[in-house]
Amino acid sequence: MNSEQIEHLNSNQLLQAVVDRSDLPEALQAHLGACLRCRTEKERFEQELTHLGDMAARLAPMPSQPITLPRPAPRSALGDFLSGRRVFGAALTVAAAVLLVVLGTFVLRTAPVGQTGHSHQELLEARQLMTEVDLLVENALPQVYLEIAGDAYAASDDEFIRFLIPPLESDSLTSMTGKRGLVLC
Amino acid sequence: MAHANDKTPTSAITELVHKAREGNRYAFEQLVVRFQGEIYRMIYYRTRSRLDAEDLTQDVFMKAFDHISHIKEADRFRSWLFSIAVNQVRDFQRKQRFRSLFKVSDDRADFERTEDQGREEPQALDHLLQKDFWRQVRLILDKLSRMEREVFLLRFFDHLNIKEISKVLKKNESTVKTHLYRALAKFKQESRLRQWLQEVSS
Repeated sequence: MNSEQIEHLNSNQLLQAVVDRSDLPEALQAHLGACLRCRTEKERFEQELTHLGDMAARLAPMPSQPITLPRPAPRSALGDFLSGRRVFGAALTVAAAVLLVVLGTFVLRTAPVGQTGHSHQELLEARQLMTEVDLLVENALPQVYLEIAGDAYAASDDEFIRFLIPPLESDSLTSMTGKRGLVLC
Repeated sequence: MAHANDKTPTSAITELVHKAREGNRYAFEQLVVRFQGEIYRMIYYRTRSRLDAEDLTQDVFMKAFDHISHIKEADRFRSWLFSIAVNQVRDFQRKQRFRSLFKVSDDRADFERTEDQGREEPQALDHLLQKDFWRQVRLILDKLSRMEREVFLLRFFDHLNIKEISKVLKKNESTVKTHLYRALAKFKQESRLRQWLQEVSS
């Protein structure tokens, strides 16, 4: 396509070309490349803008003061000492914590698992066994037989025993009966 | 459009940034030497005061020095530095607006006075040219919106390309182009300044 055949770039298209030529449609880009009139107009406007920037730079003042950057803080002996002590303290604390952890781990690993609980359980069982042994010593018969024999409360009810078998010295009737018996016999 | 102040090759700057990032103070000082003038001018175009430009340039490099280790792309140091400067100028202008609520001050008068006081007795003609130029520039810049002005200055005064401007302003490229297009349309209508520029250049 002959670029001279299409119309020249209008004012807006020329501005668009100054902003970014690649934003123009391809046909206009081709025309701009080929058309001396459009290209000259665009370049003249660009030169004005370039000249404006250059003038600004030339007529602007120059900085009169150098930039001062912060100096690294000087190291004082006291600061070093305090810093050293702080570091030493922190190291000591860390070492103590590590030692505590290592010792704790060692103790836990070497001790038999559940030792304390186990011995306590054994003691309770031993006590229970002794109680059962004591009961058997007192009454060897099982509870069922004791109830059949009426001895379930024998140990606890002396009064009942005394009622069944009164003592000789306190029973006048018996003695009398005995006398009578003697008499009768 | 080529950078007007391209004296140091980009690779050399990138190398200096790498060294500065690793804590090399000398490398950072070299970067300061390379960019101080550029940043100073950039701030001066916006504040129109030599003294404020001095102070703000110092602040920009202090911030850059403190945060150089955080820079990810060493080859984009220039746009990174400009983004710090843009933010510093914005903060400064915000504070100025706040102060102006309590104190009536004429920004233009301040600009003229600073200019007159700051110069080291330049030639009379140069001095007149200078005053006239900044007056014309101020007239055109005052007609642009804040974003149009920023994009226009970054593109034609600070010589940043569209991609760099997009990075500095944290806007996408099409937004930057739109603002630049509008700014150029307004500039094109300023036949007085354009004629003046042609006369000066010829």
